[in-house]
Amino acid sequence: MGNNNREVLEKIAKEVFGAKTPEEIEEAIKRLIKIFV
Amino acid sequence: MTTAEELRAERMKLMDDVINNREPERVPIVSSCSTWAYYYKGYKPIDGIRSNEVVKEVSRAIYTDFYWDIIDIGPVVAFHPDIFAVAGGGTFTFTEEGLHQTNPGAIMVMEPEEYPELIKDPYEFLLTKILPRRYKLFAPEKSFQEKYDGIRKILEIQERMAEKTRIHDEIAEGEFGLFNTVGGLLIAPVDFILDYLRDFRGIMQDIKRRPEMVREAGMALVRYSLDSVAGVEPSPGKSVLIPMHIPTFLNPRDFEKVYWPSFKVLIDALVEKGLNVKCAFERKYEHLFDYLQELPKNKIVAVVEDDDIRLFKKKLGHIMAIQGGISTQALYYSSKQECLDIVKGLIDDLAPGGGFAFSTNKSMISATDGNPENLRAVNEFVREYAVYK
Repeated sequence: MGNNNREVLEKIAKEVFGAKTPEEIEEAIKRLIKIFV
Repeated sequence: MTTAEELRAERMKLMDDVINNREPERVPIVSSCSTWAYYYKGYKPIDGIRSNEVVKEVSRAIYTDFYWDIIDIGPVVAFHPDIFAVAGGGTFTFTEEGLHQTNPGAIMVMEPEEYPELIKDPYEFLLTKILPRRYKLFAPEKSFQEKYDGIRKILEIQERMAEKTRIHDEIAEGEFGLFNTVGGLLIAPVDFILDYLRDFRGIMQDIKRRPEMVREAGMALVRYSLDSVAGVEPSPGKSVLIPMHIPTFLNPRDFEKVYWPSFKVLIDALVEKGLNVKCAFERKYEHLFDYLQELPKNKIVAVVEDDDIRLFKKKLGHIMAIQGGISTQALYYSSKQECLDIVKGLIDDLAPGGGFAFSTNKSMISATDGNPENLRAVNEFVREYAVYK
C-alpha cells in the first residue's frame, strides 16, 4: 500500500527491460512513465 | 520487373528530394489513410483491434485499390480500450466502433499552483502526482502486486498492438514497396501541458495569469519531449512527426512568450541530431508565419491543414517542404470532376520548383473523410500528371 509506484516500476524495469545499473533502471522507469502519460 | 525493395528505394528518394527542397522525379503521393480504411472495407476500427487478419486484409486493400508512394499514417489503431480498462482511467474514451476520443474532464489533473513542481522534475512529478490522479491502478490504496500485475498486463496489450504495426509495415514496405516516412512521434512541450495536464481552459488561463510558469514548464519539458525519439536515428526521407495543437489558438504575442521558446529549442535539438521534422500545423498558422521563418532550412516538412496552402508555400516554401492538398471534406462531398479540378490547380501552383508532397490535408479517420472513387481518381491523376522529367 501507499505510494509505492516507483518500486513497482523499478521491479518491472529490471524484469522486463533487463535494466541492471542505476542509470539503466532510471531510463527504464522514464520509459514506463511515458507509456502511461 | 521492379522489386518492392527497389520501389521503396525510389520512393525514399522522392521524399528525400522533397525534404531538401529539390525537384524529385515526380510529386510523391502520401497516404494519411488511417482508420478510414476499415470503413472502406466494410469493417470498423474495433475489428482491427480484435483481429490481425482484418489488419492484413484492410492494409492490402488500400494499397492495392489506391495508388500511394509514401506512408505517413497507416490503418493501425493507436490505442487499445483494454489498456485504459486495466489502468482504470486515462485521457481517452472509446466509441463502440473503436475510435478514441478525449474523455471529458480527464485531462485537467494538475493544479496551476503545481507548475514549480513540474518544472523542478517533470518525471518525478508525473510519477508521484499525475499517475495516481489519472489511473486507479496507481492510486495509493492499490497493493504492490495489483500494480505490478496491471502494468505487466498493459505491456502485453501494448506488445499485441505493436505486432499489428509490424504486420502493417511488412505488408506496406515488403509487398508494396511503399516508404514509411515517419520515424517517430513526439508532442511539443507546451502542447503536452495542454493535452495531458491542464486541458484547454486551464492552459489558456495559465497563459494569461502565469505566462512565465508556462514558458518555464515548456523549457523543463524539452528533454521529456526529446526522450520520445531517443532511439530514432537520422535516415534519408524520414522525419519525426510533431502534431501541433495550441498555437492556432494563440495570438502572436502569447505564442512568442510561452510556446516558441521551448519549441525552437526542441526543433534545434532534433535538427542538431540530424533528424528531419514533420510539423503538422493543425488548423491555421498564418498569424505565426513570421516565427516559422526562423526554423532551420530544408529540415522541416509542413503538413498544411486549413491554411491557404498556396500562401503557405509562397511565404515559407523557401524554408520548408510543404505537404497537403485536397481537404477530406472535398474528397467526400465534391464530385470526382470537382476533385480533379482542385488537384490540377494545386499541382500547377505548388509543384514547380519541388519541395511539395501531395496528401489529404489531415488524416482520414472516419467514413466521411473521403469518397473512395474520388480518392482513387485524384491519386491516379497526380501519379500521371505531376511528373517533373
